[in-house]
Amino acid sequence: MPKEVIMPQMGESVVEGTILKWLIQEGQRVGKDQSLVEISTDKVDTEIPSPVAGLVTKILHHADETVPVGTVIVLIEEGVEGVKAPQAPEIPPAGVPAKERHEERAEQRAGIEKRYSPLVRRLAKEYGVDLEGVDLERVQGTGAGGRLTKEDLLDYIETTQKTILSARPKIGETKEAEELKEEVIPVSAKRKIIAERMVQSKRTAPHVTSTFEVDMGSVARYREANKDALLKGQGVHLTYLPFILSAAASALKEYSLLNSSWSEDGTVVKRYVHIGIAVSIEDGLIVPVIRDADRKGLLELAKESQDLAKRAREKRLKVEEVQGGTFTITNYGIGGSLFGTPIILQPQVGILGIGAICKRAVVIQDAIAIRPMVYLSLSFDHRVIDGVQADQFLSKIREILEGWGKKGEKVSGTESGFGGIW
Amino acid sequence: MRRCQVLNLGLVEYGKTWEMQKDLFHARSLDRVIDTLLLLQHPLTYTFGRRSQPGQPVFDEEGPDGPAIYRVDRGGGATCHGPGQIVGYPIIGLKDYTTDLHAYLRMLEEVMMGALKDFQIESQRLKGYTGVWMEGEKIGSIGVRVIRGVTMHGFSLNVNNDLAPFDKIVPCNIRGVRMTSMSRILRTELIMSEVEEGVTDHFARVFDVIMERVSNPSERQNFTVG
Repeated sequence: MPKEVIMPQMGESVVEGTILKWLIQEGQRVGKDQSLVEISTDKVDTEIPSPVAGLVTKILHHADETVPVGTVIVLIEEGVEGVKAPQAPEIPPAGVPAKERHEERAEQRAGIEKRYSPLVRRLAKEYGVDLEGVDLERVQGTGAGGRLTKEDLLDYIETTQKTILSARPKIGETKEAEELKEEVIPVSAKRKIIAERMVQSKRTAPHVTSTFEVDMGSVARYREANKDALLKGQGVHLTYLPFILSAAASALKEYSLLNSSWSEDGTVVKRYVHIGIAVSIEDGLIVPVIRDADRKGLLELAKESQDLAKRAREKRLKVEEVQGGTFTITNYGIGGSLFGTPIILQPQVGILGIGAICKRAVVIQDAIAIRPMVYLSLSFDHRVIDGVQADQFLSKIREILEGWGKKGEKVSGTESGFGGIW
Repeated sequence: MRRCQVLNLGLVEYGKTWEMQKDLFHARSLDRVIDTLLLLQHPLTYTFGRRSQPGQPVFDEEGPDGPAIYRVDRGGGATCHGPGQIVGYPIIGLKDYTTDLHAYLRMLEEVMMGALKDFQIESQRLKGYTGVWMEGEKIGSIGVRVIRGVTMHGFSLNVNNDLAPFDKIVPCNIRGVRMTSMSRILRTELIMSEVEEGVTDHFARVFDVIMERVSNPSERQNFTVG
């Protein structure tokens, strides 16, 4: 069943679009996100990217035709030996997003030279890829001037891994009679990139981790009082995460050095607060970003984090949804961990780890009480800030969480009787 | 709050700014530069958008001394630029503001309308005819290109410019359209920098951004936004 590509709804008042120029032909293979056609509506020209990788089977409307929004304009047979194209990155944002890579490719495809960076050469050697033998039609360079980038090579390696691995001497073969005591598991391109990012971050920023213990009693009470209504009224599961997101966003506003990046020219302080949430997915991690988290209420944060996490697991995030984070929160408490020393997502300054929330016996005014407690651990870039600022930031978060619902934070009356905080 | 750098380039040749736009467009696509608004004036130049009607006039004065003519990759039809007209090219990540392409057109109209209002000109929109109008005459034009959420090309606002060159084309594919300018309406020559200031302020208001003026274009910021 071929995939039907339609004239998209580019705006509320857009009812039709004009096809300016087809960038592909029938019978041509296209990669996911490759631009298919230039279209125009009113005074705006734009392009439609391919939703899938596959073979263009039929172009239904031709240049200069104006068709209503929703009209099928081209059919693409999905996966028919589609060119292996970079997917939406399922890894922390950095480097060049897949979409833009295509953009560059289209314009800079001309004049490919067989020049490779030292990194590409090293990787090629490691994997036994003969660069001279790499079929450039299959591995399209997406770097400047159409050059082969590390990602291109890793994509290529991933698709051809099996053959490459079988070409290498296998451990089992060399020790024929011996029982197989070790096994080589091929590393996926995704894993490889995560590995490089982690090493690069540790190498770049001197990490220090500071841990605070926070009494989640107030938040827990608030959550208990509202979660059923919220689930019934809005279909949102109110977890502890949005409370911490909200507190972190406020603290980031106040201690803006935590919301910055180190650069040789100076510390770049960001006036917007985009918080990434690390979500574990099959074979890796992805960090979708909640934009302008400081301007969103608790309900909105709950909804958005739930939606992003769900779509992350379903691999349905858009490229722009994993870009532009200014700070990250990782919730390893889900797995039972009490505290950790997370690695900063470059070029950010901090990452906040949430441990498991457990009831513990704590001393309050010389009495022993049972309280739901959590360890919040902040890893920060010691080039940018010192422990003092980190602890002020954590204190602020603790103050907000421990005082939740106590100090007259407004619970504005929405239909469900539940609203944003602040 | 988001930041947007403003570069006032003065009077510059169309081809030069087109190249600059493409550079900025690429850099913005790769998140290597923050949002940018280029403000400038062109020497007499005719540009034809992708949807310009066929049968546009042939210029007999084409040549070294004649007007520059460009076919460009933007929406809209033909238009004309000249000294005394403010041209604005926003190279911005549109998704941070809207995902609705037509809403973007309305925002650009609002920027021009706000700037006009500062000079007591109460301009209007004309349904179905994107741009800014003053009693049936056109004062502000728009033509943009948006690829993967990044914009280029933009808007032009007639301030002091000579309107005669528009007679040679079918501006914006509207036959018989009459153009007007701020100086024609107010019957006085305006100070360009004051109008530019107004456009900048209203861009900040409409897009809800902090405008950072970059006096020397070579100082433009190239660090990553995130």
